[in-house]
This record gives sequence, structure tokens and C-alpha cells, in this order.
Amino acid sequence: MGNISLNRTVRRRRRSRKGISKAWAVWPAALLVVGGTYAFSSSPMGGKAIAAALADPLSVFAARSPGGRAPGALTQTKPSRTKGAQRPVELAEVFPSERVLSNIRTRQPDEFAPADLPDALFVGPLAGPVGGAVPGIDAITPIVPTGTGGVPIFTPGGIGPIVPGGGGGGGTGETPTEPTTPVTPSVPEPTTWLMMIAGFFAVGSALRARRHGPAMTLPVQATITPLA
Amino acid sequence: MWRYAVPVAALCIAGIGIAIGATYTPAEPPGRPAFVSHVDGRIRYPADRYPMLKTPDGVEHPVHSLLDVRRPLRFGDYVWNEKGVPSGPVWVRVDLAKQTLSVFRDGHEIGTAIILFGTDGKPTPAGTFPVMAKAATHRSSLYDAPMPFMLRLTGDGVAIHASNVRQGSATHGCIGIPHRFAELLFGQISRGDQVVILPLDPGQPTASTA
Repeated sequence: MGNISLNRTVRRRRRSRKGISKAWAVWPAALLVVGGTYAFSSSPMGGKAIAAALADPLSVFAARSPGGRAPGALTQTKPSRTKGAQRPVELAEVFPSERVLSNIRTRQPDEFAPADLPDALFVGPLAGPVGGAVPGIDAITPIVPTGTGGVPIFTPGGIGPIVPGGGGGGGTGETPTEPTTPVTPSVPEPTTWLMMIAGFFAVGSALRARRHGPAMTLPVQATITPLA
Repeated sequence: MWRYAVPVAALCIAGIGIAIGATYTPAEPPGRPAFVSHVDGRIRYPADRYPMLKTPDGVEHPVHSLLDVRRPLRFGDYVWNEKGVPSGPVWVRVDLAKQTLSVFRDGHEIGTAIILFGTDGKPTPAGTFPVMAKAATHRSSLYDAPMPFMLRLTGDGVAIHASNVRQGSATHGCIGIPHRFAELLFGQISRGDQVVILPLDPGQPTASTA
């Protein structure tokens, strides 16, 4: 009996902890020393459980059961073949739709067209159908549609209003007769200036700190060295 | 300086050990049930006090020994142990209320598993059924699904077969058991062996065909 239960412990450990470490192989060896006491103390079932099993074998089945299934529990089953044959095949099964959002918008745009409101963008001295000046923005970049009216070309430099009748929506784009040339400002904007100056300050302070760093730590080292 | 070498080395080794232990995951082969026991763990009853298992139609089966499953089985688990069990008559006890199945040979329980059974709409019939047919490779004509190691119980298609036993699944009246367990059971059962299905509700009338 002792040998049997010992064999069980050895095998179970080997099975469950296979390859975890050599240290686990030491345990059965240690148990061999303790031998008989181990076999008796950890018999497969406790005394009460054995008594219950002797009295009622059904208690053994109850102990291993995961419990009953609740009435009306939600369960999944295989679909019936006959039901599947009667069901019409949906188009989505033949051509599965993508689950990734594409960049093509199939939704209709929102109906928001303020008719009577004044267009704040094009209020200015140069407001017109070809282009308009936005107050506060230096450069005006028009969008020049291509000859076939396909893709609008953006010229870097600033914000420009969309030329009516141009690309965008496609169709026959009309080439403007006199496209306004983009004006590159000769002086950078104030934020650019500020960022550059701050960068110079940062570089300068770093260099200064590096130059002064060892000099400041020198007295500290001098006080430490006599102690050592 | 050197007197700190040993503690530092011990700390390093401990750190490495903790790092390895934290990242270590025991490699379980896929598809294997979580708990399989083939060891000789069984509860043996004394020869003068064999308990009787009653079937709904009044037949009493003596029990010589039961498998000692020390904890509740999970879905997909099974225990099989026929070591030292003599050959003899085989019968199967299916307990729908406890979701378990037990195979007995010569009064000794040689295997047990968690089962799937029919939904409320398509319940598994209760009663005593002799195995009508066996098929190691069977494909359901009704559901167009493979049902390996099938043991047919009724004329309208209820059988014991291998299935993916997972919690929350159910069958259309069949009894689903884990694949390897189904293979073992298939090797034990011959045509005509009794399968006793206990009703889900003890008050429910049973349809006995035996």
C-alpha cells in the first residue's frame, strides 16, 4: 500500500511538473525517507470521505461532478444541416465584409448648409470666387486643379481656400487662367523665433553645466579622500 | 570588498531565479485534458459490503470499487484506470444531473468523464439502452459533423461520441465525451452492452427500451 501511494506521488509530480527543475525530483526522495508515515497520513481520501463513500457510493459521484447544469442554461450547439439548407445564403457569407475601417467614407455627409450666414473665411478685401485673403494669415496658397480635374495639388506655404469648380469632387476641373504664385514669407513667425532662442538657451546651459560640473564636485572629493 | 562578494553573488542568483520563475510557464501539450490520472487510485469496497447502484428500471449493479477522483473534474477532463481490473460485463452509467459518465467492468469503475448532453429543447432521453451500433469514424448525416467513436443508443440517432467538451456547450440529445476518453470507451464497449442514462429530474419518466 505504501509503495503504491508513493508511486502515485512520484508519477503525479513527474507528470504535472515535468521539467520545471531538478529540485522537484528531490521531493520523492525525501518522501522515501519519511516513507510509511507519508503513505498513511495523506491517503487518497480522508477518513470521513472514505466513510461517506462506504456508506453512500453516490457521494463519490457528487464529489467529482462539476455540478448540475442550470435549467434553461444558455448552451451552444451545432446548427442543423437541414435548417442550414433551408436558410437562404446571405451575401455577407459569400463576400465577407472587412472588419477594418477603410478610409473610404460611404456615409452621406451631414446636411449642414448655412445659406444665409456670411462666410467668415472669405470676408476681406480680396474676397472673390478665385481666392480670398484671410486676415492674420500671411500666405495664401490656392489649390491648383489638374487638367483632368482629379486630384488637387497642395503647394506648401500656408492655408488657402479651395477654388470653386476645381478638383476635390472630381468632374471637369477648369484650369484657372492666372494662378496666384505662393508667397514665401522672408521672416519667420514669432513662435519659430521663440523656439529657436529657447533651443539656444538649452544648448548653452547644458554646455555651461558640463564645464562647471567637475569643478563643483572637487571639494567634496577632497573631503572624502582623507577618510578612505 | 571581498566580504560582500558572497551576498552580492547570492542576490544576483536570487534575482535571476526570480526572473526565471516569474517568466516560466509550464509547457502543456495542446489538446491534452487538464487532469488525467492513470494511477491506481481507487476506493475499494469490502467484499461483504458491495454497494448497489440502482437503475431507473430497477436493476441493481454491485460496485466493487470506484475511481478516487480527488477533486471535481472540469469540462474536458477524464480519468481512466483499468489497471488490475479483471475482464467482465461492462456497463455505462450516465448521470445527467451530475454531468458525469462512468464505465464499469466487472463491478469496478474503470473510467469517468464529464459529459455534454442535450439542451432543454432537445433533451437526452433517460432509460436503459443497449449499444445498437459502433463506428470509429462516423459523420452525422443530420448535422454534417464528425462524431468519432460513436456508440449508437437509439434508433433516432442518439449516441455517445467524442465531442469538444467545454462548459456552456450542449448537444442535440447525444452524449459528448472527450476524444481520448471516447477512444478508450469505444475499445471497451461491445454491441449489446447496457448504457443507463439517469434522468435529469428524478421524477421524470424514463423511456426504457431494454
